Amino acid sequence: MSLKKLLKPFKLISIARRSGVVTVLYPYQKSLITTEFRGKISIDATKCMGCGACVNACPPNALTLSRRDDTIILNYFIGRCIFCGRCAEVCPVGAITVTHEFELASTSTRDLNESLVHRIERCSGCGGGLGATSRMLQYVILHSPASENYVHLCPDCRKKKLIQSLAMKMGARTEDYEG
Amino acid sequence: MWLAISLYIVFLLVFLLIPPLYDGIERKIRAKLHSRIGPPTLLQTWYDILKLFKKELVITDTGLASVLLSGLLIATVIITASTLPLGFSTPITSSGSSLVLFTVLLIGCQLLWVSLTLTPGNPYATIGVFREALIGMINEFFLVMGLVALMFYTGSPSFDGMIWARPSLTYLLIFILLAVSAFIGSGRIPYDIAEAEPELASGVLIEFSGPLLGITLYSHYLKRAILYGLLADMILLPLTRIIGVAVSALIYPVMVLAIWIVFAVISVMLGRTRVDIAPRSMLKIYIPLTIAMLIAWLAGV
Amino acid sequence: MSVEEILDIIREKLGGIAEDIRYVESAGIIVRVKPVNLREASHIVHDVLDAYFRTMMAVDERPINNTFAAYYVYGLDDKGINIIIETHADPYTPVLPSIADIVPAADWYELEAWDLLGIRFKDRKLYRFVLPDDWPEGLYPLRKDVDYTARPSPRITYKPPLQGPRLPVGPYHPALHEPEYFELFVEGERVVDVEYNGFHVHRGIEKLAESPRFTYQKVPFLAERICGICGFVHSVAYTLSVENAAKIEVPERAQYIRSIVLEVERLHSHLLWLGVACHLLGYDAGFMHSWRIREKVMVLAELLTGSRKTYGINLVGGVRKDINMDKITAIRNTLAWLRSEFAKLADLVTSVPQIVRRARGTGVLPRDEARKLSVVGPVARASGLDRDVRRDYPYCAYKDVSFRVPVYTEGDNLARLMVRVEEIFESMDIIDQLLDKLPGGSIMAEKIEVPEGLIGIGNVEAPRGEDIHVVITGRGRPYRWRVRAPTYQNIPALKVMLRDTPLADAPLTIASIDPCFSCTDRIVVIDLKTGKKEKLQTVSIPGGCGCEI
Repeated sequence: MSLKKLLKPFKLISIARRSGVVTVLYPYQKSLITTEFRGKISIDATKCMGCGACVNACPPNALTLSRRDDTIILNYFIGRCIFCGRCAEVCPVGAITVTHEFELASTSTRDLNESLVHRIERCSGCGGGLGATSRMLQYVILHSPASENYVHLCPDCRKKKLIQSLAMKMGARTEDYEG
Repeated sequence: MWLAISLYIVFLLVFLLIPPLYDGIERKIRAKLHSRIGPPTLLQTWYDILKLFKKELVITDTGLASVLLSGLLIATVIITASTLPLGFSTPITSSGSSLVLFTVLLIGCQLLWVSLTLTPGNPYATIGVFREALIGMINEFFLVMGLVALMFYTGSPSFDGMIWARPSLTYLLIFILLAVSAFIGSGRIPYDIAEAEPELASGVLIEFSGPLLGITLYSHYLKRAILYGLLADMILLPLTRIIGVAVSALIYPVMVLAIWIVFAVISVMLGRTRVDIAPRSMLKIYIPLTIAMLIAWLAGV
Repeated sequence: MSVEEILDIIREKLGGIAEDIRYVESAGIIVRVKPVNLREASHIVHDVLDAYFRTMMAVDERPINNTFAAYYVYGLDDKGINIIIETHADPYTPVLPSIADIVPAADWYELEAWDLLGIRFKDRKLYRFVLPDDWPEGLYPLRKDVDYTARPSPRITYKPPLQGPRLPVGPYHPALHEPEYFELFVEGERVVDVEYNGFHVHRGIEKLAESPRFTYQKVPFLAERICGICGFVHSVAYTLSVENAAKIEVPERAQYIRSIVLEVERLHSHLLWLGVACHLLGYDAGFMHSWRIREKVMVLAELLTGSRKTYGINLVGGVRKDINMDKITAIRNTLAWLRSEFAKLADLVTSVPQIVRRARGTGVLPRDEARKLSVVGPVARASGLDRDVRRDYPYCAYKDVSFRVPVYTEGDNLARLMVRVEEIFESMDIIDQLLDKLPGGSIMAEKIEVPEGLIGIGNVEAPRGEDIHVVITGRGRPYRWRVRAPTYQNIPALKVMLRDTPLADAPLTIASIDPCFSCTDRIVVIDLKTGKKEKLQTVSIPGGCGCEI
C-alpha cells in the first residue's frame, strides 16, 4: 500500500475547510426557503363564496364544508393539511393563496383550525333556505347574466315562476295566480 | 513539603476535571470536520454528565452489581490518575516502583470495565464485552510490553527514571508503541467496536442510564486522559531538565490536549473496523514495531 | 422483436392451456388460464420464456364477474413487454394453486393475497403475514364487501418469547430508521439465519384509494405518501398506470418535467443512502458530507416543485408546476457544483480502508439466487442482472436520453455501493440531456377521462429498483390499485445475503438493499412456530422477510 493511498482519507480536511460550516443556528438564523416553497394556505374572506370547490379537490380532507342552521362553514384544519396547494389551483375566485408559513406547531388544536362562516341566502319568493351564499349567486349572475331573474329563488319557486311566465305569455291574467 | 503536596493536589484536581472539557473540544473539532456547528459550548460534555447525574438511578435485576462495580471502577481510575506524573514528578510517582504500580492499576481498570459491562447480560452488551475483551487482550499485552521496555530502557521501575532518559531511536519507538496502544486502548474509531452504536446500539453501554452512565462515561474519558497523559509524560519528563518543572507542569495539560486532538482527528478520518479484522490489523502494526524497537535497542541507537 | 412475434411464441407455448390470449397495449399480453393450469403456465413463462416475476395483483371481482381474480405480471426485460397470467377463482371458497416453488419471488404475494383477500393457496404454508397479529380471522379487508372504515375489535394472540441464540434487530434499533424486526440467529459473531417480521407500518393505502374518499386526482398525493424518500416514483407510477389504461395523451413537456424530478429524487435518495452506509460503518464524516451535498439537491427539489420532499406536483394527465429559464439555470449550476463535490466525496469514501474492507465480500447475493427472486434495482445490478426499467420499459422521457446502466457481478455490499455511486453520475448526465431537449408546450393533458374496467400498468425505476403499479379503473376512482414497491421484491434476498455474514456487517447488509419499509409495509408478520429449521431448509422460499405499503 503506497503512502499516498494511506493518506488519502486525510483529504477530508481540505474538503471540510473548503465547504466551511453549512449548518445554521435555527431558529436564531432564518432557515432557507426558496421562492417556490408551499406552506399553509390563507383564505381571503372577502373573496371566498363558500362554493366548496377546494373541499372537493383537497386530498387529505383538511378543508371541510358543513352546514349549520343558516350558515355554511368552511373549515381549514392545518393538522391534516399536506400543503399541496390544490385548493388554490381550483378556487374559481382566487380566494386561496399559498403562503410561505411553515412554523405551525401549537399546543392547542384550536390554533390549527380556521373557519369561515357564510350566511345562506333566503329565497326571495317563499323565504326558505336557498343553499347558496350571496356571493355564489353573484358569481352565477356574472357568468350567466340570463339567470339573474331566477337565482334568488329556490327550485320550487323557480318552477312556479317559469310556469307563471309561460302562462302569462299564453294569455293568463295575474289574478288567476294571486287569488 | 506541604506546599508541594497542596500544589500536587491542585494539579491533580485540574487533571480530573479536564477530560470532559477535552471531549467538548474534540466534539467541536469533529463538528468542524463535518462542516457543522456542533455543540453550543465546549463544556457540553460536562453538562451532559451533570445532567445524567441528576437523573434517577434505575436498578434492574443486576443493577446492584453494576452500581458496586461502577463505584469500584471510578475509584480505581481516579487512583490510577493519581499515580501518574503530571508533567512533574509528584510525591506518589517519585516512589520506588511507581511505574509498576501504574501498570497494574491500568490493567485493573480494564478488568473492572469489562466486568462492569458484563453485568447487565444484555445480548448486545455481551457481544460488546467479547469484542472489548478480544481487543483488550491484544492491546494490553503490547501496552504492558511497552511499559516494561520503558522500565528496562530507563533502568528504573519508577517514573522518575524517565527524567533521565536520553532521547534515542529506541525511546522514540517505545513512544510510538505506547501511542498506538493508547489510541486503541482509548476506544476510538476504528477500535470502538465494543460500543458500535449502529451495530450494537451502544453495545457495552446499552443498559446503563442516569448516574450509572454518567460514571461510566466519566471514567471512560478519564482513562483516555491517563493514557494520553502517559504519552505527554514521556515527552515532558525528559525535558524538565531543560525547561524546568514549573513550565513543564503548566505545559502538561496543553500537551495532553494536543495528543487528544491528534488522535481525535485521526479517528474522524477512519471508519469502524470489524472484530475479525481488528486483531490482524493490530498485529500488523504491533509486530513490526516491536521488532524495530528490539533491533534499535540491540543496535544501541 | 415485434409484439406479433412474441404473441406467436406465446400462442405456440401456451396455446394448449390458455382460454384466451390477447394483447392490451396499456398492460401487455394477457393470457387467461384455468386455475388447474396456472402452475404449468407459470413454469413456461418463468422458466422457459425466462421472464422476471414483477408483481401479482389479486382482485375481488365478484361485483363484476363473480370471481376472485389474480393477475401474475411477468416481464420480458430484453423485449420490454409484460406477460400477464390471469386466472379466476371461485367466489365462495377461492382456492388457487401455489406457484411459490416454481417462482420463489411469488411467495410474499400469495401470503398477502391470503391475508387481504382470503384466497387460499394450495400445498403451501399460509400464515399471518401482512395484517397485525390481533386482526380477527376470516375478515379480509381488501374484499369489496368490507367497508374501508371497518375497525374490528382485536383478537387476543400469544407470541412465545425469544429463545436460543437469537439477536433481535428492531423494531427499534439505531441501524433501522423505520420499525422493522429482524431476528438474527448467531453463532459467535456469524449470522447463520435470519427471520424477518415486518409490515409494522401497514396503512391499508390500497383499500383507502378504492374508498369514496378518493378520486383519480387525489390518489397521486396518497401514492406519494407511500414512501418518504422516493414518494414521487409512486405518484408517477400511479399516474402512468391510469394514463396508460385510459390512453390519456400527456404532453411531452410534462413527461420531461416528471423525468427531471425523478432523477433529482434519485440523486437525493442515493446521497442519503451513501451517508447512512458511511454512518453504519462508523465513518460519520462521510455521512455528514454526503448529506451536506444532498442538502443542495433538496433545495433544488424545493425550487422545482415547491417542497423538499413529497413534491406534490403530479396529477393524472400531467404536472402542476412548470420549469422556467431561471430554474433551468439553477439546475445547471447545482449540477455543476454537485459533480465536482460528489466526485471528491466518492473518491474520499472509497479510500477509507475500513469501508472497503467491510463492504467487500460481505452480504453476497449470488446471481442465480438474485434471478430466482427476481430482485430489482441496484441489488440486481450488483449481482450481475442487467435490469433497469428506465431502459427496458421506457416511460416518461427516458426514451429520449442515453445513459449507462452500471452492472457489477460481485453481488457484495461494495458492488451495491459502487452501483449507486455510478448511478449518481448517470443521473446528473440524464438531467443535463433532458434540459437540453426540453420541449415547449403545455404541461397538462387537455382531456382527462377515465373509462371503467380497463387495466393499466405503470412502472418506474425508483432509486431502490423497479416500482410497479397495476390499476383497474373504476367509476371516479380506481377499482383496484396494486402497488409493488422495490423493497418488497428485495427483502427476501436479505435471507441469502445475511447468511454467514459477520454480525457487525448485518446492519450494513440490511441497509445495502436500501430498504424502504414504509414502502413495503402495506403489511407482514412471521409465525415463530414455523421455526428455524424449516426456514433453513427452504432457502428458496424466504418465509421470514417482509416489506410493505
